[in-house]
Amino acid sequence: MPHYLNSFKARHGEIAENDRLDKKLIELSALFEISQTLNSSLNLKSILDTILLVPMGRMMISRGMVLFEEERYEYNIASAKGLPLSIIGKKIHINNPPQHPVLLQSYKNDDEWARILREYKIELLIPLISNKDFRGLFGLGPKLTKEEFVQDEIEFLSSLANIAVQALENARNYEELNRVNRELDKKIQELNTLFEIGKELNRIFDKEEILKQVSYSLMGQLLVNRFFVMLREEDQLQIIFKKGSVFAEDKLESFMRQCAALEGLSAPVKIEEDDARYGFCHEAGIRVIVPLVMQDKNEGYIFIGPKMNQQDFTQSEMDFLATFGNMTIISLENARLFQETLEKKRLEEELNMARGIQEKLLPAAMPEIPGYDIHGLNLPSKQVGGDYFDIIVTGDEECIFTIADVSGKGMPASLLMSNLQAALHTLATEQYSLSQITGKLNHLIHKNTSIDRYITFFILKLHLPSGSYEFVNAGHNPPYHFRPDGSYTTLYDGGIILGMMPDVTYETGRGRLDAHEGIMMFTDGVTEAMDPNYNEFEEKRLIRFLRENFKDNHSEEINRRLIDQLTRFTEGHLTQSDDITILTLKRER
Amino acid sequence: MSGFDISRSDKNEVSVLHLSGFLDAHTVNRFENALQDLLKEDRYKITVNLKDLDYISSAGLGVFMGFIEEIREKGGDIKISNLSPKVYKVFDLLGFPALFDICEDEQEALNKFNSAQ
Repeated sequence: MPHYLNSFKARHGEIAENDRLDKKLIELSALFEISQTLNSSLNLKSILDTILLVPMGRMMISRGMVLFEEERYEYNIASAKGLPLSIIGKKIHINNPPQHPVLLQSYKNDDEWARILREYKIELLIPLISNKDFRGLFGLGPKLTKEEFVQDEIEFLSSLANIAVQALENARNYEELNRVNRELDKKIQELNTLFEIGKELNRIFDKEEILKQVSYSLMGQLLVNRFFVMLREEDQLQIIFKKGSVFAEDKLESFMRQCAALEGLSAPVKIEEDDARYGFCHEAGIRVIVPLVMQDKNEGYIFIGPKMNQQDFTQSEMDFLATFGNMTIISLENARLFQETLEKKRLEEELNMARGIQEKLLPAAMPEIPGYDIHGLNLPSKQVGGDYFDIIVTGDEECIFTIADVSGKGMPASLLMSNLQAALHTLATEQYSLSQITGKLNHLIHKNTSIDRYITFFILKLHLPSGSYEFVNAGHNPPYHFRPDGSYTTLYDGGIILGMMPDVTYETGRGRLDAHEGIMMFTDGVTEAMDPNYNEFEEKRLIRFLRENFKDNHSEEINRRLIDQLTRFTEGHLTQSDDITILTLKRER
Repeated sequence: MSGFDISRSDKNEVSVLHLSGFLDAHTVNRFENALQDLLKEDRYKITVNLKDLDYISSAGLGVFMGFIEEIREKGGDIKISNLSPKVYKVFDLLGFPALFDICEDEQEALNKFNSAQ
């Protein structure tokens, strides 16, 4: 017994004989102690423990609970002893909470809340009412002795409740303050993450690297380790990043089909099990969908699995994801544009290389052949077509002229042309006839290229002293053997273009070039040159040109004038779409 | 200037990674590579000592998340030790103490690995 109680008894001897007062004093001292304990603590749990365990111990009560009013009339079981732990957190609607202590057995009340509390065997209910707006209830079960609660006890418990109220209110405010502080800290952390990833994403233009950064921030910030990113590529949604197995591979196809339903989604959404629209996502283990929206169009999605600690996603986290999704798609889009520019540059470099190869394959200078006047030219188009011409002097008295057009453009055309040139130079020095050479070239091209690659090819061997010639035309625009009187012969004989089918036999055509006569070889860039109204230059204009210019000019001048005329015809857009190649030879005497 | 450094020392079965400086989106690749190297050598018992780590961002924590499952599947673990109050706060805010074994110091982590054998 505390010493002050002894002195109290000594001073008031006769009254202290009274049992009732004695008991009262003990109660008072207990209250004094409790109040010291309660008011020195801001820990809600220890306060709740004190106000439940003290009366339970003193009065031998087996159960008790404390309820807090969270919203008006909505109570929540904040703590319980001697009852299943699962009831903590249970919500109970109490629209007429008692203002004074009540004994539930004799309390005339049929409300649902009273029934529930009776079910939990709560007998005594004491209100917790602060002079501010804190409200609660403090309930105790029956005494083990089965004795009823007497007025003194109820008064003691009411006093305890009054003392506890202030402590509870303080502790709750303190807890709330902590919670808000922590939420603020978390918000700052989220903003830091956004700031950091924004800074980092501005620096990277590589898709893989972007996705890696996105993945780390997502995992670290949200405690998730299962998610995947889907992006529209060539108008098809494709999974471009995956972390952890979200669902079985065989479900993927049907899942992708169902993703069409996500089209209208404009903000991140949580997926519940019974979600009417996105239930298929929940089945796939997805808990949040973040749409990646670019100019009002869903360009993709981030699908996120459950958090590793099984907790729900908070509103603040959903807000974070909205911004995070925006940053992700903008950065992916920037990377795509950057790659496109890079690709364009690479293509240009490739074309320059192709142009370089072609230039080297064409004769650097026209050979000087006595009695003949020879000139060839090639104007490559922007895309670099596959035109080719060559002049090979094979002996003192013989010379081979050739012109060809390789299908396709750019590097592939240049490489095929370079094959043709190498093979031709090898074959030309052997004792093969022109039809044999052409047959072998056809075989070679057919064997080594796909069916969509072919070459139109013309070859002519001239006997220099006599002017007699042989030729083979493998599907090339037929050259003209032109005479000063304006008459001409078209050089058709040969066979089909090189590379279409194996084992082709080519016919050989023959003729003789007399003094002042000539032959003009050209590619389809000449006859198919277009004026602004899409009219082609055609053979008829070429013949007319030759009639007007052939007789009185040297080969070089003829070629130059033809180019001039074509330039006028196309109004300056001559090499817009195809290479132009002309090879002209004239016999001088 | 915010540098980042990582060093490794193997103590029998357990590998200790010692991180210092700033672990953020910019330096996160190096931490990832260090963990990847350990996995390539089939070393799954890993202690990460953060004694000299000045700052960690969510991306840095993301690396722990990215590896933990695979490492635990292989019977290993990542234990984290020597967190400064500032670094611990970030771990705590994002809920990491519930998922990762956070130890007072490196010795405690090593002891836990050894007694688990």
